[in-house]
Amino acid sequence: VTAVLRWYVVVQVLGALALPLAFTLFRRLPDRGYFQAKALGVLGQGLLLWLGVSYGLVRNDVGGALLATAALAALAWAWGRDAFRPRPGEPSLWRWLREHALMALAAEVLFLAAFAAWAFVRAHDAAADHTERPMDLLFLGGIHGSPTYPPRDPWLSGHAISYYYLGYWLLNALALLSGEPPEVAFNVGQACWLGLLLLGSCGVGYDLLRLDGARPSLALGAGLLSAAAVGLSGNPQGTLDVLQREGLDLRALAGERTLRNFTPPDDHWWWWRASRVLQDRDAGGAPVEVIDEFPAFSYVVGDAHPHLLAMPFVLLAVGLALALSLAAREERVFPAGRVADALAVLVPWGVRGVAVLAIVVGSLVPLNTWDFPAAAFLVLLAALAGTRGAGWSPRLRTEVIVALGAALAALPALVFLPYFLTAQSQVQGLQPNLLHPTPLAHLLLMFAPLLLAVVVLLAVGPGGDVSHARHVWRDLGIGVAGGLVVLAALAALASPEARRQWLETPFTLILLASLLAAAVGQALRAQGAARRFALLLAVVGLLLALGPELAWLRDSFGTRMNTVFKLYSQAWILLGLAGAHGLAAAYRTGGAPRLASAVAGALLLSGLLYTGAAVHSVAGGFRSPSPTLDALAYLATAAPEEREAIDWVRRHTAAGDLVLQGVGASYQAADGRISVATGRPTLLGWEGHELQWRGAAFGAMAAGRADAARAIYQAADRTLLEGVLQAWDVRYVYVGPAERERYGVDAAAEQRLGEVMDLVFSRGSVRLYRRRGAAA
Amino acid sequence: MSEGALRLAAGGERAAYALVALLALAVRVIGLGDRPLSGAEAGGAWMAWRAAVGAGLPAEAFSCAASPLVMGLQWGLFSLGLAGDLAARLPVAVMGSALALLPALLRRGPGDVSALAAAALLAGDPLLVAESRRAEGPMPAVFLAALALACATRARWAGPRWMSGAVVCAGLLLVSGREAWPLLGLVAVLAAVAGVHRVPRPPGLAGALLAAALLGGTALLAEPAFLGGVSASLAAWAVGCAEAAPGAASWTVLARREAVPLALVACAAALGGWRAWRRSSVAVLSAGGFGLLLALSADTARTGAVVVVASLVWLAGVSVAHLQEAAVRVVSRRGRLPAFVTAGAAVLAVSFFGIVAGALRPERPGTSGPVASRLAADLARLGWERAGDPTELAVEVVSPSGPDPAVAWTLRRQRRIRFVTAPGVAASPVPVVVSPADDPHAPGLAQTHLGSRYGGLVLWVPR
Repeated sequence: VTAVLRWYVVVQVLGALALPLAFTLFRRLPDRGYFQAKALGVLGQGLLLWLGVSYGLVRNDVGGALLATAALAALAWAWGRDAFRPRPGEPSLWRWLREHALMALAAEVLFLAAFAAWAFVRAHDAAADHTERPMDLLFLGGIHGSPTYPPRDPWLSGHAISYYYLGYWLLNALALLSGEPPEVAFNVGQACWLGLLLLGSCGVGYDLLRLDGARPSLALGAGLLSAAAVGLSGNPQGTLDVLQREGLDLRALAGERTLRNFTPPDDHWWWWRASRVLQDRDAGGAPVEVIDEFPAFSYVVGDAHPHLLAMPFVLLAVGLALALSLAAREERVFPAGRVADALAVLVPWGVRGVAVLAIVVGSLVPLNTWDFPAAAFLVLLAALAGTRGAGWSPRLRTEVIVALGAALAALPALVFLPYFLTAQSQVQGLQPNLLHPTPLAHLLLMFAPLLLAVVVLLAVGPGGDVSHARHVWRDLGIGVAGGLVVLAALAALASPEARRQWLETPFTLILLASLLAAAVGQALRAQGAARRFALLLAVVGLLLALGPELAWLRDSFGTRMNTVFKLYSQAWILLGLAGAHGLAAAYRTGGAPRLASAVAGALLLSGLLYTGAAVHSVAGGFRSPSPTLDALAYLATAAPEEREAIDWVRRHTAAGDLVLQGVGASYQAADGRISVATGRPTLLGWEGHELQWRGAAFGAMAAGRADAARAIYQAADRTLLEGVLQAWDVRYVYVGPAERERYGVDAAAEQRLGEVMDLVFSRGSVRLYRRRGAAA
Repeated sequence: MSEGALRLAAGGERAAYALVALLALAVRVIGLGDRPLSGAEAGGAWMAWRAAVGAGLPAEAFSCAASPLVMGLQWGLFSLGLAGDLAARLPVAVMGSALALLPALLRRGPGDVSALAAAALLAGDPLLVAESRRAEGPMPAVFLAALALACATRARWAGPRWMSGAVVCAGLLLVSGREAWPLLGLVAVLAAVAGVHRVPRPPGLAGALLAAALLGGTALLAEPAFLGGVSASLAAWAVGCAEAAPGAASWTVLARREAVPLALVACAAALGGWRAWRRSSVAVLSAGGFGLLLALSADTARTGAVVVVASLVWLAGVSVAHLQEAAVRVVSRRGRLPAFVTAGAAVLAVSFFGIVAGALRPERPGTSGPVASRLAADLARLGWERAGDPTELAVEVVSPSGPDPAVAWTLRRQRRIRFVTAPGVAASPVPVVVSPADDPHAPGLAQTHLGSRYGGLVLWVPR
């Protein structure tokens, strides 16, 4: 409880510091950025710390984190002072807060409730002993133990992390401020992030309906619906799995490609299958795994992955885009013709504001690179929408958009240069998707409620107007035609077998293309700012869902698994926001649209059934006698000797000391465990994952490491042993159960180790040796 | 100036301050390099020395007791070829001496004689002298905080340019080490008490603050890595610093040593001197109270004690004018000059009799003493005998938890020194080993080496 409280206070402080900035940056939004202030504060403080450490100004320690907080406060004072001395006719921040106390209270209650509730869940499923949790904890520990740039990769000594690590960095920054160790930050951080995600979603939903003229209480309801759709609701597969577990027999619905979707799930981790709705087939017809996570699943599984850690900041980017899209609504000033003047109308603080916008959106690159293109595209679309109707010349609009695009490309490249300097990638290029059309049933089992909500958005115009239906039908027709053309092209390019697949399963492509065309058409014609922005969200969301049908990024998996995973999780967020607004707006109009909204809303919220059941399942029915947020607490009973060794290493070794452990196999929690728990580097950890993170560069980076580890553990020859220890600057050699099993470490080998090393720790079968003559 | 305060002739006043400055510097510098640096002092000095000779900084273990500002000044001296214990301590000694001159900036308030008396007392105060003779500790932070406040106060009557000076001092204060952080609040409160917010602010103060911090924390941009010490110092203040020297002496000992200012303050109080304090009592008592609060916290006991004592001494100085006025009433005109001279001489004699002697041999917790110097000399001699160069001997220093800064500083001239977790197994030529007396490898070393004890260290020379 203390850990949660400390963390909560820190986030509240950062949110309060960022509030004056948000108040100005989001000044066109009805919530004035209140819902986004916490995420802005967390990102701002973490980024300032990261920049300070990367450029050698501060160290990655408590002092650095405090200085970064002071820098955030200074920025808030320098740039956010206008919040306290507003322009004539505008309320000051204090007055505004008094006038919007209900909204502010609702936001605080939502954040606190989500944070506390999820912390309770995490406390019943805290252990970092399965899935990729050890990997996430490793990154957190590696960053925590890196006082200077770059953050170390503990599973590949001597090298920096090569992954989207900014999310872990933000957790580390909060951990420093709140005084929590990485193993607690791992769990408390996820609870906090869920709170931020729900808060951001709620804020967008609230703003959109308020912009439509709804009263605050109804807008808050819309916000809560958005939060539920984005962050809490499961997909239909999950809901069906809950029902199938209860005995509902759906096998009659199964087709050739959906047999596994309509059979009851296994009892063990039954909730997992909701993230594996799609299943491709290789040329021989064998199944190929495809990941299709959605936010609620990501939180249930409890891996602190980059896509999860980036979500609140995707919402921040969406909020900024929404603010941009309102420029023309408020500012009917015709700029003098200079791009800088026009940008000053578009973005608060002018050029400086553009820099803030570019850096906030650009932070998605080191957070989860996959999110950046869509967010940047959405921002540009929003800017286009924002300059429409402002009385600007087409040339000026073009120049403004080009300038904004250039800022979005150039500034992140410059600011995040230290990140790029240590990053490798497994991406090998873009591959057209010639082999794996997604069956429509799979798409619907993933997205049906969100797509239905988007249909409601498309169908019901402002004020319940359905007179635009003929436009919708025309756009849908164009979409169908376009889809057929693309389908023909793909079929023409594909092999005969693949062509057959495309011709048998064309409906996903056609459905998404037709909805996309309708959304684009509606967005071009939309009058209301809120509706137009919701349609833009739908456009980008549909594009993301359509993307994996057309192409995928070739990587070390050799399939479209990762592309589907990363694009679908973004699509879920954007379609969730668009759909929730569609339902709320339709509900507000009354009559038939309200009925349609209620039905689609019920379908959407039925996904909560999955999340509730899955949470109950992963938390073991909340029956744990000693809930804890310590991700390493399980070691006290699972591996007490190793736990003692971990404590010894933490107390007696420096953060950079190489503690050799056996080369690890992916997903094995016992492999590389000392590095996971302490952040101390080893020669090579989970080999397969290192390959994923580094792609072609991995071979050279890992060359000789596995052999060196083997030579040390088998210790066949004393001279060789000394040479290898010295060559790789191994300070400590850890001999635990995993090493004994992998290398067959016997008494003779240990005796030879003892001849050139000092035995400094010994409990049961766990030993730790320190090399003599190693530099202190 | 308060009514009735004595005015001194300008020339005489300058001469008196010059004398005070000389005295302050003398008691702080004489014999400054006689004893080797303590562990806490050596942490920063060793890093500054490594930077000065281009050996690179140990980024992993930035000494939390180090002050980036002092390191920068040490770096400057070491770069001029003055690498020694005296040079390492000189920057703080100079700052401590300059502290004694601060009353000159504020003499308008208590009067010329009182300010001069305060300066003299500050110059010779035993605690302040002792703290000025260490290469670490709160003296730089206290000096800069006091200077910032003095400049800010002076800005009220001497013009806003003094505000720039105050801000530059505040910038330097930020980079002066972990002791600075608890003083920031004090500076802010006292500046408000002094009415600084009513002084017109010249433009560019924020830039001046940042520039001062940046230049002061990087040895004028020559060593940007020193800036890392700022966050290390803040972390050390927030979570504690293992390398810090122990706290100040007990309050009883302090009270005994500070008998002179205490007596002056008590006498003045008995004679209604609180009227004379009126103008500065709020600020002084706030500073003293704040210092007391700091001193009650174990981590900042030294800083708190220095702040309390400095405030006390200032108050004692302010009391002098009142005592003088009281004396005027009871001593005849003819006898005044001899009486004042006698009283002044007596006070100074009483003060400096114990002070100077104590100041030259202050307590130095954690110092390695002359034993370390002897070890360094013996290693140099061995190097001369075995390698033909006193700095070319292969030396392994066993230090499992990282290089010991005191040993590293003492043996800094050995070019082939290595700090190792345990004695190496196969090196050629076999190195000389320096290990802790309780090192578990001692029995093994004894078979191949001859050991000689140097305090807590053993020098193992190959047979």
